[in-house]
Order: sequence, then structure tokens, then C-alpha cells
Amino acid sequence: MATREAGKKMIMLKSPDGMEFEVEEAVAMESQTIRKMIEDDCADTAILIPNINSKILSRVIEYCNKHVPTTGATGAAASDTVAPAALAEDLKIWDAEFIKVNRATRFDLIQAASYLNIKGLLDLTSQTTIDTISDNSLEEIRSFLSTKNDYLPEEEQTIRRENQWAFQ
Amino acid sequence: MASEPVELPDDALAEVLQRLPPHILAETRRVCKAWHDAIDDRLRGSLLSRSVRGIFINFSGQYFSEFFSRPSTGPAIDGGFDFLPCMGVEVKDHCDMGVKVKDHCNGLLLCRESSYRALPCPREYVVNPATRRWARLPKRPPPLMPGFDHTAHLAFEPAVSPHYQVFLIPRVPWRLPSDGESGDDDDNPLLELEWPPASYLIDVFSSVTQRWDTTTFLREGEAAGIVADMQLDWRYDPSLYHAVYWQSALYIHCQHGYLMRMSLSDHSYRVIKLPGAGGLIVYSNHHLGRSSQGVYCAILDGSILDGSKRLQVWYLSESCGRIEWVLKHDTRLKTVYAQ
Repeated sequence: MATREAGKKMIMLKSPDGMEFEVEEAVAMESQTIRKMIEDDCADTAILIPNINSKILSRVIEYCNKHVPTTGATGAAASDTVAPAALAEDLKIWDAEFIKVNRATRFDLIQAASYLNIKGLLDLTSQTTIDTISDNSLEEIRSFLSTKNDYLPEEEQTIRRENQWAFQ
Repeated sequence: MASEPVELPDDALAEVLQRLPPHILAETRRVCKAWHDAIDDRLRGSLLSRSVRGIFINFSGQYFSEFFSRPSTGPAIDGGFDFLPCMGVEVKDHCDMGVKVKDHCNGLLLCRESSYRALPCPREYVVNPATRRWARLPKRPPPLMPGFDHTAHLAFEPAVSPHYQVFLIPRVPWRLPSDGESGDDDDNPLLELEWPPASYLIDVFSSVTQRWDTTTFLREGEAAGIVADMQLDWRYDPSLYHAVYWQSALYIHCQHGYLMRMSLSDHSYRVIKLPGAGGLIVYSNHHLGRSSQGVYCAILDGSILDGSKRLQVWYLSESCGRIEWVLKHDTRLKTVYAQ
């Protein structure tokens, strides 16, 4: 339910396992998906976030809380006292700490960020996978991601030829 | 590291993978079938970088195409074609051999061997200069319309498929082949034929089948005229009449003020008059082009001498089933030439 608390509009987010999270509207709107629901007036009651369990949803909210832009003169104290560059540095350290999770959690976070359309979180959670793919051989990629090579040798050869032909 | 299989659904996987540079993304198609499908279904457009790194120019009177590019620190396209077998050292007297770019489409080039000396049967190649890969086209089939000119055009859309096609379009030559019976060219029965024909037979090479096959394109609507209307008093320059490929259709600029829009999906075609051309025109100063929005036609006319040189750019609007030219720009080029 949308309520008011200390002058800030609050939004209720519900995970499929029944947990409810009350968050500031500005924080929830870090998600473009939720922003659209709010702007389209679909958010009068609690918003059910499908497929994202409470453990992951609480981490997503934690991320959004940290990354919501501070709102100028009357906003949070942080921006009044800390220089923007230092603030960015602080965020970077915080992000690095935030993403120290196992792979299953990271993949859950990618899925959540993709569904909720939170670009910053998607960038952050994708980076490890991107680095892994960019820096390793196919065998290493498969082993890192526990993916099996399910191609027949001739099928893989066909794709290799297609790649050589059409794509740099 | 824990090794229980963890899988991302296709949407999320595509979100991650689209952050990869195109050449690594292409390699990633080989990881497993699920990744291949996710990439091909959702990210085909990201596979090939479309930034222009240089241009090929065919100067009139030159045997070979020249390549111009800015100095680049990144991976550069090699315009030298030294990787083609006809350029290799094993070919005797290779220094007088080269290639001429005859057509291009979305990063692929259609090239033909060229030399200062006459080549009895110049080989043709489809070349990807970005990957330095090439394929030699099998010898062209015997012409479907003997004595007619045939121009070759490439159709390739990497966002849809890694395969390409080459079309051999018969064109009315400047001098018709004699029918062999009467010495008088005016009696040639070919002159009365409708042009382009209602059933247009065209040889098409497909990289899927690796062979030439004859395809019939059926005309929708009127012909441009009859063959007699299409004759010229002088040899035309085929390099002025190229084609562009846009959304599964090939737009071919023909000599007499019209173009053919050939639909590759249903094998039909129609004749479209060029902008500013009332009827058939003998000399065309139209230039066909394509941008991300569709097909364009530029007209350059007037004289430099009296400062009346004029450039018009028309856009081919095809919305709601109506095909019409819309004037986008109309500029005098006096100041450009004055400098």
C-alpha cells in the first residue's frame, strides 16, 4: 500500500514467498519496470514482484537504496558534505563489496536486474561474466559456467565456419 | 568453485551477452546450443559492427578499385585484397592482376578479377574485408538472354542470416543481338517485347545451396515499355546503375528512368518511375542509395558553368502499401563548386 511516512511516498513490494518490503518511491523507481507501473497508476496496492525471492529482492532494494540520487538542497546530508568525486569513489568500493557473492546469487541478481530493468545493477552483475567470456578459451568458459558443450563436432565446425565467414 | 549448473533464462542471458564486442559475441555462439540460440534469436544485429572504416572507389578508366580509410589504431579493414588467391605470389606476373569491386551489401563485397591484359574468364569472389574471408563464385551459367548485358548484385543481411545471394539481372544492351535472319536491325522481333518482361528469369546464386539456380520473378503492374524504347545510341556506363538492398527487397536502378523493386520473399517485382522522370529518359543523372531509414535517390543536374548545379534528395516512401517519392532536400551547389 502506498503510504506517507515523514513526507516521503512509500511503496510496498511483495516477493512471491510472501515477504513485504516498504521502500521509498524514489528508491523503487530506480527500477524502470516499477517506475512504469507507478507512472501508469498500476501501483495503488502492493506490487508483487514475480520470480524474485525475498533474499534477492532485499539485496536489490539494498542496491537501489545506495544508488538512488540524493535530492539537492533538502535531500540527504551526504551530498551536502561529500564531494561528488569522493561519493562516486565510495559507491565503487560499496559496489565491489556488494558483488562479492557466489555465482548462483549473482545469476539471480542478473535475472532480477533484467526483469526490473535496473541498468546500473545489470552492468555490475554482468561484468564478471563478461570478463570471464572475454578473457578465456571456450573450454574455460564452459567450465567456469558449468555449461556442457552439447554440439556434435560437425555442428561446432559449421558454426566455426559461419563465424569465420561473416563475423569478425 | 561450486559447479552445480546454473542457468540464466534467455532474456537475462541476452542482456549480459549483448555487452560483448561483436567478434567475441560471435565466438560465444560456440559455447553451447542454448547460447547459440539466444544470440541468434535476440542479438543477430549486434554480431557485425557496421561502422564504416573506409570506402572503395572505382575511378573511371582504372582497372582496380582503390581503398581509402582514416588511420586507425583499432583493427583496420585491409583494402588490399592481398589475401585473395589471384593476388598471391604463386600467380605468374601477379603484379598486373587486381580486383574491381562490382557491388557491395552490408559489409560484403562482390569482386571480379581485373587486369591490364584481357582475361578470358575473370573469376568472381564474394569477400568480407573485415574478416579477410572470401569465397569464389562458381562460373556464371550461360546467359538466360543471350546477347543481353547482365549485371551482378549482392543481397546480404547479417542481422537476419549469415548467408548471401548474388543476382544476375539481364539488361537491354546498347546494341541488340541480331536475330540472324534479316540484316536489318529494325526488323528484330526482340524490339517489340515488353520490358521488363512479365516473367523475368533471373539466375541467382545462393550461399546455402552453393549453386546458381534460375528464379522467375513475376511482374506486378505495368512494364516500363518495350525493348525498342530501351535502346541507346551509345554504350552506357553500367557502373552508374547499381542496386541497393533493403528489407528483403533489391532495388535495381535501370537505364531508362525507372527502377525495379524485386521482392526476394515472394519473387515478385514492380517497376517504379524515378523521381523527376515523366516518362522514359535516355540519360539518367539519378544515383540510388540507402540509409538506415530506407531507399533514397539523389539527382544531380544543371551546369557548373552557369552556377545552376542542383542537388535533390528523394526518399522512397512505402508506407500503407503506397509507393511514392518524397522530396527531402533541394539545394544549389554553386558555393561548393566555387571554392
